[in-house]
Amino acid sequence: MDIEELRKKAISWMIERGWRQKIAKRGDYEQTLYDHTAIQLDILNSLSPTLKTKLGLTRDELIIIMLASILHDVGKEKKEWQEYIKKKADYCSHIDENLAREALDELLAYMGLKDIDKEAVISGVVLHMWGERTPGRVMGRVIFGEHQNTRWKQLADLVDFIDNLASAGSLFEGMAVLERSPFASYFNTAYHQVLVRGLSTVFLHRSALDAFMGKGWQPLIHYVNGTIYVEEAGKKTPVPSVEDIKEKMVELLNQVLETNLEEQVVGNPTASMLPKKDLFDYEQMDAYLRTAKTRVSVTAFDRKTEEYKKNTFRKYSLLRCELDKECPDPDNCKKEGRCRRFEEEETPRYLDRIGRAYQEMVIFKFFKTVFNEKTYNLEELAVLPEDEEALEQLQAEMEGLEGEKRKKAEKKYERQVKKATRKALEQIICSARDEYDQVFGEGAFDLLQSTTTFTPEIDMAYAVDPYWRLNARDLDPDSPDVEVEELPDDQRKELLIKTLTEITKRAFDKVYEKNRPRGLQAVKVAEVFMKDLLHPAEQRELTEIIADQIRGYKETKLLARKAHGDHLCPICNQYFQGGTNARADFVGKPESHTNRAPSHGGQGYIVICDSCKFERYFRQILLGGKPAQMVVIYPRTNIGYYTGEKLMQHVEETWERLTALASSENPDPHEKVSLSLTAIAYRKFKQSSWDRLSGEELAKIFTYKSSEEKQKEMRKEFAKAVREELGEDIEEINRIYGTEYQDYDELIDKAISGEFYDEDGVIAEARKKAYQLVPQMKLVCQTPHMVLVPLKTGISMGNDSKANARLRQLFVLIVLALTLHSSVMLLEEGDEMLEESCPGIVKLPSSPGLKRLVAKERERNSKGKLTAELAKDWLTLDEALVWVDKIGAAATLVPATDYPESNNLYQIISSPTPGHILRRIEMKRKSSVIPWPLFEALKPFETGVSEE
Amino acid sequence: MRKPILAGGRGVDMAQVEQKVQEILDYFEAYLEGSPFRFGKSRHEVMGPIPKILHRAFSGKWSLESLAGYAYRIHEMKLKHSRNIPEEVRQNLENGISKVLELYELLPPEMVQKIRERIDYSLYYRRRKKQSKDFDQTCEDFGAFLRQKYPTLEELRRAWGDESIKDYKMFPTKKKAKNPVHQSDVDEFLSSHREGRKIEEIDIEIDEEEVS
Repeated sequence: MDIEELRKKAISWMIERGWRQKIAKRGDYEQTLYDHTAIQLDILNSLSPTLKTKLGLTRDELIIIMLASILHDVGKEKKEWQEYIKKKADYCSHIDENLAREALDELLAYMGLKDIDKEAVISGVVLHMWGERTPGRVMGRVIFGEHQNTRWKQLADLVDFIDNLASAGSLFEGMAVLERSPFASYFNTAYHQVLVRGLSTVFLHRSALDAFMGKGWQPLIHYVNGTIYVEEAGKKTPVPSVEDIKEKMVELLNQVLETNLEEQVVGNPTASMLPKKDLFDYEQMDAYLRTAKTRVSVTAFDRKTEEYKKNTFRKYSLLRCELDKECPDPDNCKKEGRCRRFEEEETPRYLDRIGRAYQEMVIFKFFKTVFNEKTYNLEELAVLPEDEEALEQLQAEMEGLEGEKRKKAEKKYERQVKKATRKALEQIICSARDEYDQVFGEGAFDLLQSTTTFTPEIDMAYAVDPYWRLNARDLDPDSPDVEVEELPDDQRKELLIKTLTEITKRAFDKVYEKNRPRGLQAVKVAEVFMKDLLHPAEQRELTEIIADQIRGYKETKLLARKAHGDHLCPICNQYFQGGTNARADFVGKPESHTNRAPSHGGQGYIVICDSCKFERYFRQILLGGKPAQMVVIYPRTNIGYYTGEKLMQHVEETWERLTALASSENPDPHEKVSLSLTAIAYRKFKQSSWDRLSGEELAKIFTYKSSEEKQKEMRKEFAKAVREELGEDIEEINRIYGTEYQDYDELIDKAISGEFYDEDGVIAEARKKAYQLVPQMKLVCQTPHMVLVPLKTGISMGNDSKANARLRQLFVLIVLALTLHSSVMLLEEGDEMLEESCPGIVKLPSSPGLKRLVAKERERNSKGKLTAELAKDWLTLDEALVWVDKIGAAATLVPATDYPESNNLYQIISSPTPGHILRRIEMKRKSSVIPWPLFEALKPFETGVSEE
Repeated sequence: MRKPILAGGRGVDMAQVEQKVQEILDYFEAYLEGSPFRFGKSRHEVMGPIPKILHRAFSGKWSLESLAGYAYRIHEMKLKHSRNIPEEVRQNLENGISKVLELYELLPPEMVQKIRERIDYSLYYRRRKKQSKDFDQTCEDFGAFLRQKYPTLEELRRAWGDESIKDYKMFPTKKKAKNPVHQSDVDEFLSSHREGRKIEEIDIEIDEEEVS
């Protein structure tokens, strides 16, 4: 059996011994006995090639180190020690030679190992702790040890070294252990370190890891913010350069940007039509306009109230009165609030026109936004070639000047640059105006640009009417020789998309090449994301960084809502210049009050840095929408290379299963995924052994079967869609599709299970719609440093209050943390990412009520004072085990207690005693006998939580 | 000028409070276990004099003796035959009252009512839980008794003339027994099952589905 096989055996031995439930370290961070030991096995595995070469270690010696590493903390599994670490009992040492010998025999038998120098293993165990490694104890081992291996002391020192390395709570602590150890001369070390931001950090870690491994470095330990690498001393493997890492990053980002982005590019007519202008590629205009069309439904206007429609007609008549200039007395029309030229009887016809033009208005709106001056940031536009030369000359002249003259020259240069960029912008707008007016008539472009927010009467009069008056054949030779208005609706919309796409292309073809919007370039994003790479990176002087920060601090308040000049990012606090005005599309409430802006200053959107902007863009691109929440899975403090790979595999397996169930691939669409059905998930969780769940078993916890009633309802809806598509004649269907269905029911059954489908995918689309087979989450798992799961919809039930939803969220986080053996937190807009090791296994979702409940529980268990506990927002392993039961049991008791739906979980959990819950149940029941299973459900509350 | 109202009182050692609460609960539970207030439908039948003792003790106006005397009177009135209260039961009651008075001294005024309520409800919970457990155990025992007598459910159904029986586990009551065999089986079981007899006397409305 090779070392890797032995490692796998050791892992299962540790799990069987329940080490995932035992705590090994608690303080600034928490590790289970399993986590702590598994890292050591990983470290040994990573170092073993070097140890073999440099120290000449034999296979047996490596096994001795492995066994001693496994057993070095075996004493921590004892009840007394667990009580001590939980502060329930006084100190007791975890060095227990007898237990170690007993466990060693068991482990040797489990692994099928024989002829191992047991005494060398025991020396490794008893001498690994500095406090217990007294001269007396060492001499005791020398005299009475009966070692067979002559270098048992060196092996014991290696066990100690590996233990210290695994116990290092941060990247630099780990580096210090490596560099200061007696074995330092046998290894070369390197590391990469990043500033933790979110999704970009995942890409950064992957790129750095690939770059280091590509050069031949072996990853040793991962931390949230970086990785330590080693290689054999003497080898001169270079550390990858920033460019190497950037190259890897570009490859990764290109893969992401290959996806269709039109859903992200096209905004909403009631907000911003082009919220992420950086993503806009003028060559994709056709796809964007098609997406824009779908932003309002065909019948949206018809569904408005009669009052609204009547007002729209009146306002429209006034606008036409103003534009047509055919009315004899326009002033009177204004007074009356409607134009007399438009007869009352004709109102339905005009309203019908507006209703039919609704989607075209949005198409125009998108086009208008693309060519709106405000869409462009002057600072980002390239100066036209003819101005470039003049500016270069000015700059050269400036070089030779000093003092006051130089200042003047600088100001002049700035003015000229502004003028030149303004000219570049005018080039874009003018070329668009020329092309547009050529098609729609003189002044049409300015009329279109004068529209503001989506207002049917204005958009109809200023944009759609000029289009509808054109001859269709003038726009497309294949179209009939009639006015556009007379074309069928679909044909008219198609023609508009085609016309505007051609105008866009012709307009941008006339624009200076560098100023043509070509979408988001991976290189540009990589450059921005690379700023978060702290090592290896260009080292800046600390004074320089401080000076930037001070300058940013001075300027940021005045420019808080202006996208130019020096800033401190309101999201990440980093210094930057320029930036982007945030949009509600990717930042929550960007217009609201902020202390970063003057309290009575002008209105506007806050300005954020490019890193934060692209971070949010990519979250949306990956998820296909704005994430409501994001689950973040971290290793508990640190994780070894091999266990890290295993963690990724586990997470991927889980989400692959969940995504498959929530997608059209699912053969049984009645099997659904939900993170919010706490009672069902708790029942399944209790039936499983959380410390050894596979990915598929974990996924199963969050699945449920639709009720029969719901199944019937969905089937009915689906059948209706299928009948509409295929018609009623089953024989005809059988003939077309080559099937032999007896009746329609059989066809529907097969279509539900996905066995019957059409080539156009219409049936599949109807199935997806009827059964809501759209994944609501996305896994971003690149390295074990952090795994992200953005969720489209937040974890909560229909009428949940915030406190109730927070309890459900906490439940999900605990289940994930326990089953994935990680630390987990839930991220929402405005929440901060963790920058170093996790102080517990689950971060409490932010809710004052929940925090108070937890703090009260801790106070009652004499863990600390309420005020101090309120500041701690991470749950330890044993607390997580208590809370998962409390929340799960509360969800089970919901029907019996019959509290209002919005607050039921919170009401139950905040009951001062289980007696209060019992009385509530008794009052809601007819029978005075409470069945025993209900008392089982009440058990988690017996330890008591109080909201006193 | 109106005198300022001072909020926030003296600090309290919650660990000590917790310990005292647990002791009180243990003593009162032991008392009730030996008292005639073992089973019942209403809260009073389960808790006996304890809620009233707690109410008075936490008013700070009653002494140990007056409270004990008050409790004995309620206790005696519940006794059917003898007025003799066993020494152990007396001891538990008095120890419990004495701990309540000690706890009262520890507590700042703003916590008194909350702690009283906690003790009251926690004790009630313990009593009800015990009752439910006994009830469940009686059903289990009766099931075992029936299983021994009728090895198959079919035999039981035939003997009792009741086709609706789905499980052996059921409460031994004669209320629903129409068949004489059924009645005699219940009698036979209750004659040797003291807990079951006591519960049966309470005349609880039973939902058979919940029992199984």
